[in-house]
Amino acid sequence: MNERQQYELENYLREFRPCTPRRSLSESPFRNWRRLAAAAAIFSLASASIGGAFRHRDHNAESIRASAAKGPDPATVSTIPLTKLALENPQKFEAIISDASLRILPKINRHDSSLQLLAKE
Amino acid sequence: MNEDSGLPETIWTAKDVQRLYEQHGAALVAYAASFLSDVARAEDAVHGVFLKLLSGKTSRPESEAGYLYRAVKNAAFNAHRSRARDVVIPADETWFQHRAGNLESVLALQKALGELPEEQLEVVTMRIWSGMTLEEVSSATGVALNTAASRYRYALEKLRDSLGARIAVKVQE
Repeated sequence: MNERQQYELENYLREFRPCTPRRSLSESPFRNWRRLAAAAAIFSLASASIGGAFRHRDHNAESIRASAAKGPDPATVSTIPLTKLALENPQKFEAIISDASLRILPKINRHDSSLQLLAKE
Repeated sequence: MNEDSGLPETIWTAKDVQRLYEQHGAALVAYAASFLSDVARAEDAVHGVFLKLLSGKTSRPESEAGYLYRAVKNAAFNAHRSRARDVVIPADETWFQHRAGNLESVLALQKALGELPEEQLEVVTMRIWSGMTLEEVSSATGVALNTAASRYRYALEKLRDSLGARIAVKVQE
């Protein structure tokens, strides 16, 4: 095949385009497992954070009370409604998780943060 | 680069995965569909690979495209092995589209690509539909540049033999 023929063939092949996937990556059936895993991870972090706060209550009762006052809304961290929501309404689920993460995820710069203890280790 | 340490990132970020999906996603689905002859399963295979990247458990390889093509090929072969006996393949399913909407040409192209040896299919898909240079293809597939170029040339010759009449008509137009 000479160069001209190759050029013509390449041009012909470029007239074809792979179809855009009919389902987006976010609609993949595998994606739900990620949502479930995310819900479980958030729940575990919330549990660890609350547990850590209670373990340190003797050292800083005031801080713990503040922590409890700002603590998570049980309705938003319970895995069952979260799991249901992740499967039925991913947009709302992600909005709730984003909102909850601002209140629930431990801050590493807080003196009673379990992540800070781990970071020191 | 990692801003804190100055070391190269070793894990794919969501942004990397998004970029790679936009650049190679459609070509990878077409590539997998050439093995599977089933677009839905091809998409599943490709999405499975990208979601594994998003999980953050995969270290960054030297050649991103090379890794993606290998991973998709393995996923497609696994899907083919596990469900080979119970799948009815629709005869007119398409994973390419023609600029002028010529369905017959699309089916002819898919058939011709399906008859190529794996390594030639890989090179021609990377070169034509992932827009990679032969140097990039060589690096991605881990073969010498001359080998990549030979595979590409052989692939084009076979495609010309299979599609010859259609190309001739096109050139005359």
